[in-house]
Amino acid sequence: MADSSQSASVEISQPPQDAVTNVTFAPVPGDYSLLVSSWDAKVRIYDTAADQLKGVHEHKHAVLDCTFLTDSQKCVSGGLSTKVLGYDFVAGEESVIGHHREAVRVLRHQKSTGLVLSGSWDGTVKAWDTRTKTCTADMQVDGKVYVLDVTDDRVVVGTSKKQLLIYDSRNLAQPQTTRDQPLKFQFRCLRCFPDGKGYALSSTEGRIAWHYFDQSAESQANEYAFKCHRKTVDNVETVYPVHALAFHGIHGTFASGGGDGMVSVWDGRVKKRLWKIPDLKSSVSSLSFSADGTRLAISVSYQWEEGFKDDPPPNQLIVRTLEDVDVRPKEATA
Amino acid sequence: MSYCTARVCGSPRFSSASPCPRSSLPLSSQLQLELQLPPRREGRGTGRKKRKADVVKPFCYYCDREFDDEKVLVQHQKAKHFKCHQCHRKLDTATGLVVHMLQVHKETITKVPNALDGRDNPDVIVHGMEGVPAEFLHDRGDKGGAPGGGGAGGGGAQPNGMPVVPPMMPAAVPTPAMPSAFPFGGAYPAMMGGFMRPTMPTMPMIGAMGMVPRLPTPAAGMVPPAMGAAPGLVPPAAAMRPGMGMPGGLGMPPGLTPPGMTAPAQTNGEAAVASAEGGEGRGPRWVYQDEEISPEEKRAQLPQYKYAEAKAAAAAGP
Repeated sequence: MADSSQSASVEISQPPQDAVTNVTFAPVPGDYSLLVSSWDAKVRIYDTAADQLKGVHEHKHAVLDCTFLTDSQKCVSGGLSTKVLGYDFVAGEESVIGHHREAVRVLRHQKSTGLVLSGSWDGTVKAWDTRTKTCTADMQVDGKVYVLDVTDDRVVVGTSKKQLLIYDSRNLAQPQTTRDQPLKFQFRCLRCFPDGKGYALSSTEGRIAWHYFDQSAESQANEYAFKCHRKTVDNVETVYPVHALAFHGIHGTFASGGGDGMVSVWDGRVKKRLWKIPDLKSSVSSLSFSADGTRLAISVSYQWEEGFKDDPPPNQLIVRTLEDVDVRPKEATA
Repeated sequence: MSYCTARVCGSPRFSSASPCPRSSLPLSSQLQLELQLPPRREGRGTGRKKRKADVVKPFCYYCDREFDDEKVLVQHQKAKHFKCHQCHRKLDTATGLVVHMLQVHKETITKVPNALDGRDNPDVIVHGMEGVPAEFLHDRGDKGGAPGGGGAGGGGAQPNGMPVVPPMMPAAVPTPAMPSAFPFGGAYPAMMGGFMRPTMPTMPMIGAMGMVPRLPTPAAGMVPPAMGAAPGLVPPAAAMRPGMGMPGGLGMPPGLTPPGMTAPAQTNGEAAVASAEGGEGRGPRWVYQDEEISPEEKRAQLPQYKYAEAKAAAAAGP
C-alpha cells in the first residue's frame, strides 16, 4: 500500500550528513521553517517552502535535540557537548545558556512560561530562562532522562527507569504525580496532547500509550496502549521501536514513526488509524507538524537499533503537504 | 449445540441433517463439505481443535491467512488486498481495483497489494472463498484431512519430501492450531488498526496447548504470545506449512534451521537479530532490546563523536 498519493511529498535537497535527531517546524502559522538537529554536530534551518538551507548553527559535538523559541529566529539546542546552546539565526550569534554533566537528550520550550526545559543523561531536568541564561529549576530524577514534554501548565519527564514524573510548572520542586511503568519497555518519545489533557508515550517495543493527566476514574478508564510499528519479516513478527510522535495542533490527531520506516497517523480518541506512509528507506527518527497543520516533516535516518552499520541508508528529510481530511478526526469526516 | 460444519459460516445448526440455513455456499465451498468428516460436535471448546483437522477453514487466497468466518475474510480482502492506496476506496475484487486505479488514478497495477509471491496476479478473480484456484483448495484439503496418527497433531508428519526437522526442533514446529485458535472473527478490527483493548478476553489456547508442547517463546512472560500479535497479524503456521501448494514452498529451503536458533534471545540486540534471521522465529523479535541504555547512548560511544572528551570537559568545566 504505497500511500504516496498525489499530495506532494517533497524531499529536502540538502539533508544533514549524519543521522537526524530532531525536526521541528516553526511555532508560527504560515512559517514553514524547519529546524533540524543531527549527529553531524549541526543545527540547520531550512525554508521548506523554497527547499532552501537558510542557516547553520555549528556545534562541536553531535546534537540530540533542538527547539525553536517563540519564532523561527531563535533556537535552543543541545547534545553530546553537555551544553544548552542558544542561537540567533538572524544575528548569527551563539550563546551558552547552561550546562549539564552529561549529554543533553531532550529540550522543550514552554510557551506559557518562556522557559526552556532540558533533560539529560545525568539524571536532571533543568529549566532555563534563555534571556538571563539562568537555571530556574534543577530537578533530580531517578535514572537518565529519555523523554520530556511540556504543556502550558505541566512538565512531563520519562526516565530510563521507566518512571514518568509529572510536574506542575508552578512548582518544579516536586513531581505532582509519579507513574511507574506506564509502558514496560524503554521510552522513546513523549508528546502531550495539544489540549494539554494528557500525553502519548511510545516505547522500543512497538507500542504507544494514551494517557490522561486527570486521575478521575472516568478519565483513567479511557486510557489505553496499543501495538503498532510491527511487521512480519520472513515469518517472524518483528517489533520496532516507535521513535517519533507528533500531534496535529489543530485536530489533536497524531503521527507516529518507527524503526520499520513507517509513519502512521492516528485518531487517538476513537482508536483508529487514519492512514500510513509505508516503506521509507530507514527508521523514522522524528516528526513534526507545521503550526498551521498543513505540513508534516519526516526525518528518515538509521537510529542504531541494530548497532553499528557500515553503510546506513542515506538520511532524508521529507515534507509532506497534507489535506485537511488527512488529519481530521474520523468522527468529523463521517 | 452444533455448528455449521462448513465452517465458513459457523452459525448454529438446527439439525445435524439439514443444510446450514446461513451458508449458501459457493461452488468452492462445496468441496469443503466433501472433505469434511462426519460431524461430531460436542461443545465448542473441546471440539475446536479436532474440527480443525477435519475441514478447510476459509482462508485468504492472497496472504494465506485463515479466518473463522467468510464474512470476515471478505472484509479482510477488501481492506488489505482490494483497497486503493490513493483514495482508500475498497473495491470488491482485484480486477475491480485494477480498473479503478486505471480509470480514477490513471495508474496501472500489476500486483495485488500485500499478496504473497505467486498469488498476486490481479487477473485471478477471487472474492472470499470464491474463485480460489482448485489446486489451492485441494492442497489445503489434503493437508487438513491427513490422518494425524496418534498424537502427531502439530502439523502431522512432514509430507512432500520436506526435510525432517532436526530433533531439537519439534517443539517449534509450527502448529496449525495456533492461528485459528484465535477465537473471534472480531479479531479483525484489532488487526486492522493494531489497537488492543485491555479487556480482551483470554484466548482459549488450551486446546492447542494440549496437543503441542508449549512454544519456547522468548520472553513469554512479558508479552503473552497469544495476545493477538502473531495470530492477529499473520498466521505463522499457515504461512509456513509445507505442501500447501505455494509455488516453491515459500521460504522453507531445506536445512533452514541453524542450530541453536531457538534459544530465546533476551540479552542484547545482536543476539536477537541473529536468532531471528534464521526465519524460524517463534514469537516476536524485538529490533531493539536493551532496556537500560538507549541507542543514542550506544552511538555516542563511537570515537568519532568524542563524547568522552566532551564529558571530561564538562566535568572539569565552569
